[in-house]
Amino acid sequence: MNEIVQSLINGALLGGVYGGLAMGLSLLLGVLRIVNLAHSAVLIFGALLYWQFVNGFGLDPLLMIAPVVLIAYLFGLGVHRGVTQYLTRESDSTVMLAFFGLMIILESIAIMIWTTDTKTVALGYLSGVIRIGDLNIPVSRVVAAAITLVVLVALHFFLTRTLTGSAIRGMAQNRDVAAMVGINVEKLSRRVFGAGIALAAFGGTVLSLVSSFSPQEHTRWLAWAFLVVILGGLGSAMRTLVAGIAVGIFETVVGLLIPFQYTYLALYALLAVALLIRNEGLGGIKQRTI
Amino acid sequence: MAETTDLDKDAKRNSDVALAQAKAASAGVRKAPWWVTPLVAVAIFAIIAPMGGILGLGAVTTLTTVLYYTVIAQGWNLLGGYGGYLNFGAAVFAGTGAYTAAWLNSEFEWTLWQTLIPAAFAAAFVSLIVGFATLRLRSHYFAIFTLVLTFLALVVVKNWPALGGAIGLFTDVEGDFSSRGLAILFFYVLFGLAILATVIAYFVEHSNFGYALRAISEDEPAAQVLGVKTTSVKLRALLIGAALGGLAGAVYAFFTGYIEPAGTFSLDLALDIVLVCVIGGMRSWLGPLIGSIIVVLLEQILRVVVPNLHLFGLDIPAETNRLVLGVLLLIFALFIRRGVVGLFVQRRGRVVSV
Repeated sequence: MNEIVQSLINGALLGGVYGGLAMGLSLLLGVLRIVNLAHSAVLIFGALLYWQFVNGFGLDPLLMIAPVVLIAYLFGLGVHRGVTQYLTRESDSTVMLAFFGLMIILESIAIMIWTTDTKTVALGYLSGVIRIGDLNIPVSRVVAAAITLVVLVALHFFLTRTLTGSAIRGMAQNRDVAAMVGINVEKLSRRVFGAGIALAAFGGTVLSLVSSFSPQEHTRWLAWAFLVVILGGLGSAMRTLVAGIAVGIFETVVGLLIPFQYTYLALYALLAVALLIRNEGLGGIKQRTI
Repeated sequence: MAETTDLDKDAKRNSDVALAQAKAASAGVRKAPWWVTPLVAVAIFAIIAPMGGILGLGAVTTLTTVLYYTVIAQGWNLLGGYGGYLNFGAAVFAGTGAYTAAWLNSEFEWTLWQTLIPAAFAAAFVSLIVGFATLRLRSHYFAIFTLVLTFLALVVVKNWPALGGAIGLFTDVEGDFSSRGLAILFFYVLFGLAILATVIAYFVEHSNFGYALRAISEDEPAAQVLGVKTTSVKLRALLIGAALGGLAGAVYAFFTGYIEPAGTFSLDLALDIVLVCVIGGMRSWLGPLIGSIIVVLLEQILRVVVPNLHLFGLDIPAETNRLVLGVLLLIFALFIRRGVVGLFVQRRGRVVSV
């Protein structure tokens, strides 16, 4: 019994992080119709940068999330200027080719700088364990899930309650009409793209709090993020969070039942089934906007 | 330079909006006469054909790699190029073929020839599962799914004891061959497969099947409305492509003599194949042939040149090669979408959007 409760809690906390992992992908796909194949490469880059700050320079693990996200945002603006803005009217396949190229570039640079070693962030004061009865809950997981929760809830309110958020949702529904009613779609696209990249890097930082990672195996995290996006639909922060938690719980519960290496198989099977059942995520076509 | 001035003239002639539709309809207007592309292909094959006997061992191995890439890329190009459904899991299909062949060889001592057909079927079977899950959806779901599939294949094979786990499988060609004899054998096997794949690509491009695929990449809902059975067409294209990949993979397993999961199921092959098609030209049956020659030669040059560059006294790591390839892909995707072949053959029926 305790084991089940323990894994449910672990799964829910892990799942919160998975929500953070997928949000950037979901935002770019939902608002800009951009399939960011480089999502996981940015994610790992963010994690490695974070690792460099925390392990390499010995800086505070909680405070260092912000600079990584800021750097990623600026990088995103740069990529938009250099690559994405030329692709707004291009076919999906051209966009994907460009982002596949970007993925290879980021991955190669990451391996050149940090080699292929598996990295683990030194948690410092976050490395404790909370004990409640028989339950052991790692502080780092709680912190990572809590930060993700705050960010996603804030994003949710930003998208639904502010004027800029409405403009973004309008752009997601129809870019041309959004431009007609006076939304500066070029500027907004640039910022949304930056935010999508920044969120990917944010996902990397919270992921590095709960898991070790290596630069060449990053497509694994793309698979997770993709699964969350398929289950949660596009662009909605709350649904992404819920889908992330569902995936986290599914993973830990399946891990209890079958040997560890087959959990991947189960998750991919879940992905295939989700793709078969849903055309555009659980929200369906009608709700593909934010 | 003549190229650009001709293009400018074309653009001026096209500028009459009233004529735009008619221009678009006159699909297949080419600069070069129709027989040029087949002639180029035949010439390339005719030049390559005697090379197995002439060149040294190293050069024959390089040419064998060119042919290996040609086979996979021709298969990839059916759905990826004509259909616009990019497949980033080329390694999964080729790897399935390679592992099927290696397993049959090491377990039951089947020869190279006997393993070819089962390998093609195994790869086609895997593609069928992938296709059923993803091909009813829009192209980016297929692309992401194939991209993340490589990781799953790696994990599954690593944990499958019968397939050698993380250690891998050894293959053995029957009969007594000198190392040169073996190289020549593989060269001609892949030469035959490359011709087969190119002929298939040629006939697909000039059949209703090919037109259906191109219609899908232009506008899938419209194609569906006009009566194209889109899912079935896509599935067939994927199937043929995967079978060709499986065949090439099977030969490759014997060619290298040893396969292991990390090398077989890596994104490097996917990158190479995508590059071959993008550089060669995604909508031409000639593209993969030219592209694979360019990409393999480029990689050879990089492999030789990069380690010898002591830029600022630093050792340049091997990943620089991939970095260059990634940059190249980005440049081609942004600026040279029609590839090398596209520079010589005018695009059919430019889409006129409002």
